[in-house]
Amino acid sequence: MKKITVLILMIAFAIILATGLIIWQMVEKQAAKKKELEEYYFGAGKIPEEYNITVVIKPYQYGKKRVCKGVWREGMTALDATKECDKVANLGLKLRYDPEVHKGYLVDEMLGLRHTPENNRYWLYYVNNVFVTTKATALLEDPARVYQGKKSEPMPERFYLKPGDIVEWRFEEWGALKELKEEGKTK
Amino acid sequence: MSLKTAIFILIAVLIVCSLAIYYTWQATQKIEIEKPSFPSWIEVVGAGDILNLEITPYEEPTSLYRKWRYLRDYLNEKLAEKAGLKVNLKIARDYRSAINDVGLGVADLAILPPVAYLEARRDYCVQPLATPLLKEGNRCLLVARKDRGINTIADIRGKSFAYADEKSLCGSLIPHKWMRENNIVYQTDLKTVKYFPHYNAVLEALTSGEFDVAGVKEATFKELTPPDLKIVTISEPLPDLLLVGTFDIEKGLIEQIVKALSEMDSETLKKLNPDYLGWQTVTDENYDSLRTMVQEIHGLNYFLPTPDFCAIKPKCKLAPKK
Repeated sequence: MKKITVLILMIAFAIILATGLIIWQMVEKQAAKKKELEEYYFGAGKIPEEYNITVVIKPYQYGKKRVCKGVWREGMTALDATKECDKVANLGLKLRYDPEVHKGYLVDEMLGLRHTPENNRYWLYYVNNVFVTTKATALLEDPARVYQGKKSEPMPERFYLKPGDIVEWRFEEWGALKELKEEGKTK
Repeated sequence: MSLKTAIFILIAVLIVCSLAIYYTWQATQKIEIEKPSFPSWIEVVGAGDILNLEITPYEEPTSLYRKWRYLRDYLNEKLAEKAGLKVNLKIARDYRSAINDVGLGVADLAILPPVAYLEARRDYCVQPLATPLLKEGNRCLLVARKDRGINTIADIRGKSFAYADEKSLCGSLIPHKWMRENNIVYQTDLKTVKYFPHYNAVLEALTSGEFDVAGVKEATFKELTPPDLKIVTISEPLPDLLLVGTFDIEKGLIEQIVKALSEMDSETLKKLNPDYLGWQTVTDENYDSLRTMVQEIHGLNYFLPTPDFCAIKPKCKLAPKK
């Protein structure tokens, strides 16, 4: 009888040990899964979904490209987004107001690059891969790009962004662009 | 101690332990992760040496992340040795985001499915680098619920069809090809159609009974082995996913990446996909037959570049105009 009692107590003890082991494994598994999910969503280099505006600066052969992401707000213009990018990425953004021809701001310098007669390049901007000129009617007439009754215009301080937009600044040769304009291929 | 007491203790232990296991199991099923606060603007690609690798979400994103992190780790190890680079991994929001991101340089490298590659090449001149080699090649399957009486492609008339993304090869293009070959007009001959974001969602729609038939990638189907489904037909081997680089990625870096991939050990390959044999380099011309297929089926011309983009990038070599 005593032997059976001892055996039963041993079984009970074994069950307690096994339970402890099972619980420990469950907790470990959960912790590992949590770590994996955290890495997936917020690990190094992860970008939260809330960032819905992208600014890309492409100096091409003159340096490394830079990319910023930010959160869209109502009335945000292409220039606002570029200025925000400048704040976090230290692009060395310098603007010039042109009161005569463009009646707006031009990017004079970024990443230490500016137009010279030798390079014949300018900082030109694109939104969603479309060069923003008066001919970019699909972009300019998009109802989502109207702010307080004002329609978007080609100058970056008057071009209203919408969530998901990618603003791209390319340091480009004027010649290539001119050629396109002559061919009537610019959008 | 009496036998009675011992039995009582045993029963009590059994009950307490069962309850403890049950409640722990319940508690561990729910995983809550706290979202950290973030600034309104961040720098994603800076002056530092970071390569962003983006994966097209052809399968459920977390499972893709689990698989492709081995490629990130492998490249991290190889590129850190030679070029001092760090590779970041991201699963794109959808097919279009993956194309835009690698096209515009938000990502430096991307894993794109073949049809998405054609679009990225046409719109942004991305560069094809390498594709994984599969034992039996990349094949597409037409799968149907066992209880819907679908035995041949012709039987899908009047049934509901679950597509994957419209730029998906097995989830959209090849099913349209099969329908075309069997004189099935998808706009009129099918009961209902719906586009799902990835293959996992497509297979879920079938197993839940919501849809009758769908096209999926063989590798995904083999991995998930969903119940109550059967294979109706199998395609010929087709181009598979490929690794692409941005238009302006450095030539030296391409060489290092391609070399690292060609030297990938069998253990890493197995982690990525048990059927992968290695990586082989690809050129844009390898995708001309697929371009012809897309043109025939969807009427989309991927032979022609987007004029604006390529005219200002004279170095961009494009597929020959047809």
